[in-house]
Amino acid sequence: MRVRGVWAAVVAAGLGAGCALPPAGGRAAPGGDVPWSEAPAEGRTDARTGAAVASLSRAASDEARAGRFDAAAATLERAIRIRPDDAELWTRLAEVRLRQGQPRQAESTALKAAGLADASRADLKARAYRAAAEARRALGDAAGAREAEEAAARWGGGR
Amino acid sequence: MPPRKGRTRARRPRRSAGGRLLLAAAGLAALAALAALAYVGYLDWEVRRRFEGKRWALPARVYARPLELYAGSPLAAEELVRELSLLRYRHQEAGPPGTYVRRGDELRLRTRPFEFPEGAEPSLDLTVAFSAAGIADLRRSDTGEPVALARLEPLAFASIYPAHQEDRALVQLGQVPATLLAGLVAVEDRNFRTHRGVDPRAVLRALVANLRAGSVVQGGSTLTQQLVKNFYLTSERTLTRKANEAVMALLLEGHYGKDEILEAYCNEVYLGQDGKRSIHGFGLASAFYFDRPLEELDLAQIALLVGLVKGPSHYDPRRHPERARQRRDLVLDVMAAQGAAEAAELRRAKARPLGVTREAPSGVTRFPAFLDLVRRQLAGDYREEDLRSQGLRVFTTLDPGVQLRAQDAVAGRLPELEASRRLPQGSLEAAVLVADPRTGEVLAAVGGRRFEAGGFNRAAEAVRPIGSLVKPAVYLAALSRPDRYTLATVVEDAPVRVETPSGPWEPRNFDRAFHGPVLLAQALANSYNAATVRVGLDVGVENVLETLRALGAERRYPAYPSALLGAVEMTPLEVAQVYQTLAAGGFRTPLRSVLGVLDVEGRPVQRYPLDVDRAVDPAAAYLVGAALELAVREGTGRPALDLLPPGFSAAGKTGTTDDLRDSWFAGFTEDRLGVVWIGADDNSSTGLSGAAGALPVWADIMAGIRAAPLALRPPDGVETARVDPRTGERASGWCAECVELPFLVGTAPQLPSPAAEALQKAVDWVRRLF
Repeated sequence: MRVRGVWAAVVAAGLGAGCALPPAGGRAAPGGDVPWSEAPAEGRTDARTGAAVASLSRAASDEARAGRFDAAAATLERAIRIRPDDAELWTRLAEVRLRQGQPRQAESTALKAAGLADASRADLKARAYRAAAEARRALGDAAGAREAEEAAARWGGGR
Repeated sequence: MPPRKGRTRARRPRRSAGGRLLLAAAGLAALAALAALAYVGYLDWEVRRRFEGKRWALPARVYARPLELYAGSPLAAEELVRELSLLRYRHQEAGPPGTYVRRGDELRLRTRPFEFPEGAEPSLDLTVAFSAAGIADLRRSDTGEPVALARLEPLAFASIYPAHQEDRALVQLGQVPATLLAGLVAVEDRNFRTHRGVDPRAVLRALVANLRAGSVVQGGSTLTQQLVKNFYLTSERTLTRKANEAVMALLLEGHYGKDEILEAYCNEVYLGQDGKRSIHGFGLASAFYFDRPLEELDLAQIALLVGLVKGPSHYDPRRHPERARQRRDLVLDVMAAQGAAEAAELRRAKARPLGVTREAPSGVTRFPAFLDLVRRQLAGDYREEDLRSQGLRVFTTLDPGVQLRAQDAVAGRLPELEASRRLPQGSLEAAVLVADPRTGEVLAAVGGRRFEAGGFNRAAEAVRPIGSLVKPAVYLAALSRPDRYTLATVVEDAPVRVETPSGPWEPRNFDRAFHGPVLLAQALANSYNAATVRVGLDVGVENVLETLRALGAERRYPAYPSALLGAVEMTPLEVAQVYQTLAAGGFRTPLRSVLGVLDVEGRPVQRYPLDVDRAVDPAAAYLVGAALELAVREGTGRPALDLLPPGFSAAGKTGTTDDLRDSWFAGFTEDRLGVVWIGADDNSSTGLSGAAGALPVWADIMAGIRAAPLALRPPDGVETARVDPRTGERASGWCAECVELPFLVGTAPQLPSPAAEALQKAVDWVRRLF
């Protein structure tokens, strides 16, 4: 089954590159209690690559909302290839890994995202640690999950 | 009933002899007819069975990474032009897909469409504007609308062939230019659309022509018959074969439509030979002769291909250009006579040169070492026969630009090194791996100095002692114990004697000197053996090997002290994995060369995702990274900076083994990791240290691919402090030799006394004023 919607979304997004970015805020993913939140797709801004990464980011959001998590992961990987130090992309990838039922991967990816996030982006750090906590819960690591929640709280990101 | 008189009496005796004969003959005839019917039934079954289902064993096609275009990309105009050249784009203003023009800093191109695993990329008419920093602007040429992201079709750089070495690039009928179909029919079977499989008129015509000429100048076979001959039968030219062929042609036409038969023909027809590889079908023939997709051929080229049908060897345009040209022109004439080409076009086409590339593009691949990596990765999921026959499409991470640079660096340096050490020409061998450490994608692999030969892939197969390349693992193990070791810990580079079962071991430094008390960071940066052994023994060889495993080394090594100085063997690929973890701040991502696989229909069948594993403590990994950066700035890796742009920063480790048998360098920048090995296959000494041999190759590659300078990012929980290297103590104020080193928070050496601390505070306060 070809994922034509992906490319259509990307081209459409690309052609309308001046469009507003999606609003920040939480939104429940289908069938899960981890909110698929959509912080503005800027992360560690390199404004010049912004349009490319933003369009892929939006496409990944669309795919995730439609429950097509494998496609969303592939799109995020493509974005990461363009901006590998973007903590927000890595955080989203961690969230998608949770949806793909890969908690171990989600945990490591979230920790990597937390490490990449600049200290000035407390919100990103918190979000990454929250994803790590969720992953650890899924792995049955209650102590580790608590630790991660505390880290998230330290960065000001209580639920 | 009473018998009739006379007649019957006279006939009865005759019937019993001749009549029985007749009966027998009738019986035999009936049997023969039955047998014939059965035979035809069998042929019919054969025809249908082979035509349905999988008709051809298709090779797997292997693609490089697609080049992504976006504003903000660091891509230089020259690099885009090189990629377009590899993809065989032609210069043409406002042309069809596969063309471009360049005007200074602006490039206008029409991309070719392509089916990616994630979806289709359409053909786009793009204008790309470059600045010194890369792509400044990307928009559609027609509407002027900005384009956020576009990618070119990936370079198909290899195929994995069926065992019988037939090669074809499948085309659908819609992809075959109408002119070619018209030409084919005009020349080979003008009544194709109307006959039933066999064309008696053609046979008659051929008979007459051949009798007139006194030799075979014309064939009376239809395209259907030719297809049958190639598809089902051997090439014997006996009468029985001809009869079978005719019957099967009729049967084929009975079951399948003209278009289906024509499409099969276009993919089956034998059109050339490349060593052991036979070229079947117009799709592949187009690439083989003109290095171009079938849709992009002009009339003259199409006529040449049509002409080859009659005899690809006899009319081989590379070996018999004159004959080929005459045949082509004859085909053009026939096409014009049959209305398949216009008179004006005909004149132009005849005037054109053959247009055949001088050499056939390599049938196997230009990059056998990388293809070998691909096969290794796929081996876990695919049987060799599936790879060779299912028409799979394999999407890899190969970056042709990086690959070519790596090859150039090896080709450039090896002869020089041989000359400088008075080694016999050709005695040195090399292996190179280049990857993006942040994503684990392998960009280039060099398996030996004869790049296109294939064979032993040293990058993945040469198992060699790694020497000093192991040291980061020793120091990482130490720094993972921050209560005992920091980068400022003073260690003794003094003679050390280790008792081993085979006698005492007294390792010495490369320069035969001992350096006394040094900072841990310096011990690693300068690759001091004695200091390393002391640290390693204190930490424990087992723990060092455990750290090495965590970094990604999968082999098991015995816990001998000599392991601390690299008496452990790895392939360059394994070394690259270990250094990837270091470069990515402790997060191991398995190196991969394949991203995904599609089946022949274009459906995704396999994905190899971006996996990451927090393998070692990121803070400790950062400290080691800082020490490796020091190694390049001031230590054994210093010569690299002379070959890199001014102000460049990188991290890396030289590696030299006993008697200078192996010369290694493993190093990384912000976006590129490279591992280089140089040595002799017979394990003889080359006289080359890591810094003398492998390091210049590494630096050449990094400079050539315009790697981004390293900018290590300290993780949370790391702070810096200035330290006096003479004492290992916190620097209190002005100190020319002092170095700034990173520490886990709370582990930096404290200032020596309250007075000094007060002084330091005052100094810092004053400094902050400015």
